[in-house]
Amino acid sequence: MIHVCFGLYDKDGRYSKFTGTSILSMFENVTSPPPFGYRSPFAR
Amino acid sequence: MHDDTLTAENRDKFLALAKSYKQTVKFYNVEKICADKIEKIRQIMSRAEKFERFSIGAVYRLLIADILPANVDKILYFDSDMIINLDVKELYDLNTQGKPLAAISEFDIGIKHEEMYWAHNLVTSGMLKYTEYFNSGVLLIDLKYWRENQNLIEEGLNYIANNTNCDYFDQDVLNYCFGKNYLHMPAKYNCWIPFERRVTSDIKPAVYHYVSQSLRLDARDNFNKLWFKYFAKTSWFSVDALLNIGDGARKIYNDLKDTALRLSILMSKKRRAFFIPSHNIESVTKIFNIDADEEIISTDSQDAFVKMVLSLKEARGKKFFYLFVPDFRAINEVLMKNGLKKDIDYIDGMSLLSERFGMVASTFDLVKKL
Repeated sequence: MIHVCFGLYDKDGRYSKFTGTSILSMFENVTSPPPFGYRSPFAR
Repeated sequence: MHDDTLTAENRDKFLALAKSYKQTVKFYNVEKICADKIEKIRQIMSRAEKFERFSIGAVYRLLIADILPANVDKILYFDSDMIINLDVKELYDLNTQGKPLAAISEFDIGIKHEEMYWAHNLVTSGMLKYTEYFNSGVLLIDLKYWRENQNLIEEGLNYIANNTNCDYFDQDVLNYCFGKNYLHMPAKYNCWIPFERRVTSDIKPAVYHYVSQSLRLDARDNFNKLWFKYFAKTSWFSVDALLNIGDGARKIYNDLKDTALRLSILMSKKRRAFFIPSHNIESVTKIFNIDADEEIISTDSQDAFVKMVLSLKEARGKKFFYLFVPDFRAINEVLMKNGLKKDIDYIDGMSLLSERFGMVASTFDLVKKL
């Protein structure tokens, strides 16, 4: 499993798109299959 | 890692994005998880000289070891102004060789020693060589090491707050702690767009870092196209985003018209005067068709700024200065304190120059409106 972290402080609600674009670019270039199925993001 | 500024709408977008790629995203509200530590950091930061310029969000990465679960012992951290144009696995699989983190030095990124002013405090004090100072935008972190040495970050925070006039608080803290003990990664994992543009237009497998607002609405540049290629696949790319760009463009259009009208009225009542670096006098004279009887003060001459302010005050209402200075904002603040007014007594001469004269159109303010 690969763990990747971003920090987000979004005062005007317009910065999330930059984080989202970074994340999408990462997902687009992953060549290995996903390590697990979708999990609830609220689980900690 | 986030705080309460993450809206429910954006949270849903992140969730949908991860789901569409069969991946997982987890949210950690740093202000809730580490309330005590955040408050302590705020108190420490308030002692730093440039405190008012710092965003608390920039220090979240310093608390990674406290935030993430104990079963996560290795993490890749990215700034959000990145395009990850390769498989992160090759980066994640690097062996940090027992060091607390892996990073790329700003020297390896391509920044020359004399340009690295933000690192001066750590470098001139002898604490670090300028070849050691690393950029904190891409980090491969050994969380086990960080958890076993938690005092280091607090030590770094206190040192930086008490001893330096730093521009990048969190980056300086990390360099204080780890600048002499990190794995140097290849520069391709933190390619700064301004430097890439100088040498190539080719896109390669790399991690691209859009520093200093280098992302532009300019279709002639492959690096801009790369970012927008990915952005267009996100749900943030929407009708509203496009129309917001239109609103921004309309404002710029109207501002330009207002400026042109204001200058036209001013010039009917005032004489022009110029404040220009000596090596630019010839070219500015040609561009602005400056007459021999129009005043030019060279910025390089002795007491140049004082001469310019005196000239403005003496001829108040009769003279209008065009200023060609590298830091107009700083000059503007001083002139305003002297009772002078921008666009009434003087103007930023560089703002009147288009790409035709070598000026790059900064469209980042429009990008923010997406």
